[in-house]
Amino acid sequence: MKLLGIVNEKDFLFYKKSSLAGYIFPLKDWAVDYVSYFTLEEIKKKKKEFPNKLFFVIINRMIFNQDLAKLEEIIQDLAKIKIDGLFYYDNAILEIINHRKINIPLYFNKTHMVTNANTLNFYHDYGVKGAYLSNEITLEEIKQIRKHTKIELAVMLMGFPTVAMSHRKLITNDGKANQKKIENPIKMIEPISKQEYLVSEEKHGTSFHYGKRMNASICYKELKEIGIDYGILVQDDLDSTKYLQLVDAFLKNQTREIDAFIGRNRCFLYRKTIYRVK
Amino acid sequence: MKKVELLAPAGNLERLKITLLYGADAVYLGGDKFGLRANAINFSKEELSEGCTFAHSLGKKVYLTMNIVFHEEDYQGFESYVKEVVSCGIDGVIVSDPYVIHYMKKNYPRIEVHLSTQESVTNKKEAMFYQSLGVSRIVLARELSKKEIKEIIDATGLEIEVFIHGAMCTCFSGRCALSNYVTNRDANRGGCAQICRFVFEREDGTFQIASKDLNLSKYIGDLIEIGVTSFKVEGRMRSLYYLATVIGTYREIIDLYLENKLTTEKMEVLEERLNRVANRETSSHYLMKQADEKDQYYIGREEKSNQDYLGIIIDYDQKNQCIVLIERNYFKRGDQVEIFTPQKEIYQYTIDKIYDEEMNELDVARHPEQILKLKFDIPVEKYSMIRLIKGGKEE
Repeated sequence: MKLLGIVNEKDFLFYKKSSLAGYIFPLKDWAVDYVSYFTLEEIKKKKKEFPNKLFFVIINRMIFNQDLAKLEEIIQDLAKIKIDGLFYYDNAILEIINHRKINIPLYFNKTHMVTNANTLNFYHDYGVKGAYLSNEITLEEIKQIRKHTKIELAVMLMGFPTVAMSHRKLITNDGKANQKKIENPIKMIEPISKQEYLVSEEKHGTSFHYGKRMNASICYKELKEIGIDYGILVQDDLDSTKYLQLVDAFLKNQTREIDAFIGRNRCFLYRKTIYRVK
Repeated sequence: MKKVELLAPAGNLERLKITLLYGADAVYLGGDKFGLRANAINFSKEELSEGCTFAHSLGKKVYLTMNIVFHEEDYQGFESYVKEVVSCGIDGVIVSDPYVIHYMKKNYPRIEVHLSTQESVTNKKEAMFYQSLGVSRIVLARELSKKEIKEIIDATGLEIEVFIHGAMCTCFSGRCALSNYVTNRDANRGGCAQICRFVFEREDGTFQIASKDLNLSKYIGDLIEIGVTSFKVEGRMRSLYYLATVIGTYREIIDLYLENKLTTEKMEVLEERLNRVANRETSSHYLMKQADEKDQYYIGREEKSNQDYLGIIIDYDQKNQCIVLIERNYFKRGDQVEIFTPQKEIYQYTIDKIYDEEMNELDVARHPEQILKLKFDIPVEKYSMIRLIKGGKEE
């Protein structure tokens, strides 16, 4: 399993010191749910500086008709710099790439909807090379999916899980309705469980993240053994030095140290969701 | 102008019959698996067969929802389930998973395949992708403007279905797992706990994200003109009265518009009728502009309870010249009421005599579900309803 980082840092030295096999860059103006975004130029530069690393890009925001012309240009540009893969949400991208016969490996990244092998096999047959599994599935489900598909699989090992995305400007709206200035982002607390969520508003809408960082270090070895291709480590609010230490800790499988620093939220790895309420 | 479809929710067999009788051209419903209302009553195979037979006898259609986001375990029994529901006579399925689209097209080419709003299609290229898989219709994301809807119709020629009335999600459909994280209930498999209606806390106050309901009654003409095929009403769990009123009202709006008879005065009456059954404030959300704070709800989870619905008529007693009804809400002698029928007839009158089933006279009706009789000399058909216009004086 190769470790990929979704990082905030743009400094050369950070990349020089990093043990990551590669990076997934959220593309500025085209990605949502992350702390930092990268321009095409920045990605190009990093790729040149570190030719032995893997370079992936994320375009995961909702695409509207008015975006399509520019999107096609962006995809052509990404093809020119020969990135290792594009993590995409909207099937408009698959349509454009297949229709225009553009050579970019695609990674299906439909946040909460990457949950079974049949669907992934369908996309694989359509030319999609890999998929970023949803955080809302169990380890057992990950194993089943691995067993039933040949598509490359990525799982999040560390990061604040994305919970929801709205097209609405929910922080601005709340502020206007209550005639108050509200900070952005805010910490939203569910009143009964007291669970915390991080809510941030951007140009394209409002993102919700769960307030406890997911930590899959406990099954890192197992995921590696069953053949998961990529483990993803999201920097989020972590200090760069500490983040790189955590990367090394994952590589050395130091579960206890990782747990001690980022907590033990295993998300849904060992907890099945229900949908019928008795 | 092409024919348009009024599409109603049917939470059970009775709702299916009511909505079709009150003017829906088709209904959508969930079976006992794979639908996004896992906690609704939903249809057994027998009920589904009966519902399809009933709909087809009126020349109408039935679409079955199979729009969950499948996990590995959900595919167990999938093929036999599909075989059974197809044999019940459904006309189409509403799905979100591309594998299911592929499966249906390959094995049941005569069954229409509609792409669910769960996929949140927001642009024409994505619509083209699903068109290439064989879907005949797309239920678009609710975040689109009239202009964007028209562009998708023009670019694809697909049948396009648009939500026109009912509850709205705060987030993009399919892109919300709030319910998973807050309650462990999987939103994308039918367990949504409507977390967006909660009042949340933040450091110095509350934080609310709830949406007002959708009401596009004013824009039905615009949507017909741009080529929308199907007009969808949300609310599989709503009351019979709500469904009869909303479906009946939209039937009138569509028909009057197509006959070029929809006057401003008539529209005001119809809008007022919709407003009377609404239990939350409504807005047109994204259709004419980016939704803003006026499209949201900042008064907590408070919902108005509607007491206008007095009863549903189940028979006519020729001998005693009485309508026979099942009581739903309190009423009394002297109340001014309106009886409305599936055939759009409306009778206004003041309640004079109330009887129980054995023709014992009563002053008031105070026991919901009780069978009662009211003197009324015109026979009215089954499934007609009575609503309150103005309460009489307490005796």
